[in-house]
Amino acid sequence: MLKFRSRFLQPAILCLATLASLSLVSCTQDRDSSTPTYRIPYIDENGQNTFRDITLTTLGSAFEMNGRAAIIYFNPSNNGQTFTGAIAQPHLGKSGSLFRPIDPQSGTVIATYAFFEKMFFYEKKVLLAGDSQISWPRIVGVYSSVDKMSPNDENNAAYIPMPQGLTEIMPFTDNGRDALAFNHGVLGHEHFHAHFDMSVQSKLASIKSMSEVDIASSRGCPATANAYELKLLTIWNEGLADAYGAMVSEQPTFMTVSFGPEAARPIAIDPLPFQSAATLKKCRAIFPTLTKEKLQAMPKDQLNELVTSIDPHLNGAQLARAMFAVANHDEFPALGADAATLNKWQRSARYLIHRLKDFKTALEKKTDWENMQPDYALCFFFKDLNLSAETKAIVNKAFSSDYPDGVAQCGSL
Amino acid sequence: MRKSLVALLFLLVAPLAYATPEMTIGTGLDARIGRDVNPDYYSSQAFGQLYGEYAIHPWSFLMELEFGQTNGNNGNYSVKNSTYTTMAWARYEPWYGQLRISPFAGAGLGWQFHDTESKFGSARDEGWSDGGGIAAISGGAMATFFKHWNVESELRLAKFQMQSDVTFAFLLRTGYTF
Repeated sequence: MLKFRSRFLQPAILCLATLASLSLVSCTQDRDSSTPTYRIPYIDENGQNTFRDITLTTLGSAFEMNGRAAIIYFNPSNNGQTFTGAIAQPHLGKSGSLFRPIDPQSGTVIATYAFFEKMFFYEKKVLLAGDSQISWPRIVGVYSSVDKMSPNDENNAAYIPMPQGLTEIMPFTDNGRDALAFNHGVLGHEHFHAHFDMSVQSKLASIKSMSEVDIASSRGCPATANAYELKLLTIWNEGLADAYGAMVSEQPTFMTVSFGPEAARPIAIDPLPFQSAATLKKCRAIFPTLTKEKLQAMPKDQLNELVTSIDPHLNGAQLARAMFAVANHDEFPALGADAATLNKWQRSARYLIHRLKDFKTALEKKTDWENMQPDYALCFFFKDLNLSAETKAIVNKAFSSDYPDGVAQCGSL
Repeated sequence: MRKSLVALLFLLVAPLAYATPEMTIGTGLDARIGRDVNPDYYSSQAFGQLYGEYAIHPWSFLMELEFGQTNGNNGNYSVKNSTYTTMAWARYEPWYGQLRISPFAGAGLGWQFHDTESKFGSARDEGWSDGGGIAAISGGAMATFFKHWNVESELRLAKFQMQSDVTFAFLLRTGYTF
């Protein structure tokens, strides 16, 4: 028998023991992870940084960010249709029943999932049945590197409408501020774009006939009527998204913690006047002959006016400020039998999403987009509200110079 | 059943009676290549190692203690993680005594712990966490020069309880044998 021991039997026993150990370790990976609790970075209700223990109930596994609320990818490829590759798998340690991310990438993807799970339940509770047209899980890409993208894309987030509705959170390079993945206001802003896309923009027949030239033109000077239509939709979309971000995060200064006061668009202040239709189209007269030299020689005031006139975020911010004022004064109509159980921000979010379908219906009837006024959205959302004099005065400040009487002139729009 | 277990134990222990035990202590470097948070990609991490080995050739038994540290951030969220790994190995040299450099195969079990310090702006969280069990197999070669200088090189395949995929590792070890 001792002969038999010689070279192979003992290693074979070693192999069997190893296989048993590997099986044991593999099979017990998901222990206690059906509703995992993670300690993640969190911006609390007062805008303060903290760590919070969050239990996620929609995940299939604690070790993969794939659940009913979202599918999170980390530094994914994009094939033009959707993200490709494997779903993010965070690296974790476990303290009792609590999972701790052991690197910032893991903490970031978990925090991103946590936001979308929060929205999954928030919108089930807050939005009226049938108002939301978006599907779950949301598809989200979190980036930490700028490979294959321009450095200009850093410190930003984006919603890509077609065909699946993707949310991208770009690399964040400001080591002194809160990254966008932790900023529920910014993520709420991007999430709103999905609502606007599914309830309004993608449903408009006129959008489907737009050319690449129209789309490209709408990003700068709206040279065509189609581009002007897209420009207006983008302005309204961005403004309402800012308002929704503030409502769901309940933090009107949500942008400041990530972008700093110099770059953030403050919402909790009185609006400035919208650019008039004429101002929005003013660039058409300048751009065809505009050269780099002319641009450099342009007086600073004139240059600022030009940039402001075509920036959808700056124009949209005025709509957001008007929205915020009405929400903050709790003057949106309380929709639904359970409205009393919601706070003013939740009631406002409910109203905003509820009105999107009607907004689409109203826009569908518009045939002469070239003569559409940017103030139209202000009229649509505010003219039928029973606003206090104080709130009405704030809202009226958002109207362009063509509508000095504000809401009172909405009958003509 | 009991007879089988006794026979098994005998098979494992019998060769030890024919050999002179050796002790080795030393240090090593462990380069691990594991799945990134995006599992389509791999990332590497280096660990320093202290080890003690008790050899009754062709068998040797190894105890390891490893330490590695990572630092990273996303905005003002930063994580400094210190990983401690301890593993016990049994290894077998099928051609012991026949070759100057002796190949071996081994199997090991271990456990991993993390000491994680996270900061998010002014907020801070620090604590130990359990990194879970490890089961691994390895293959490599060892040699002893000038009677006392032990050198080993090894490739490993490890399954960590907290990760879904296997981790590859390459190790270099050197120590004093007495």
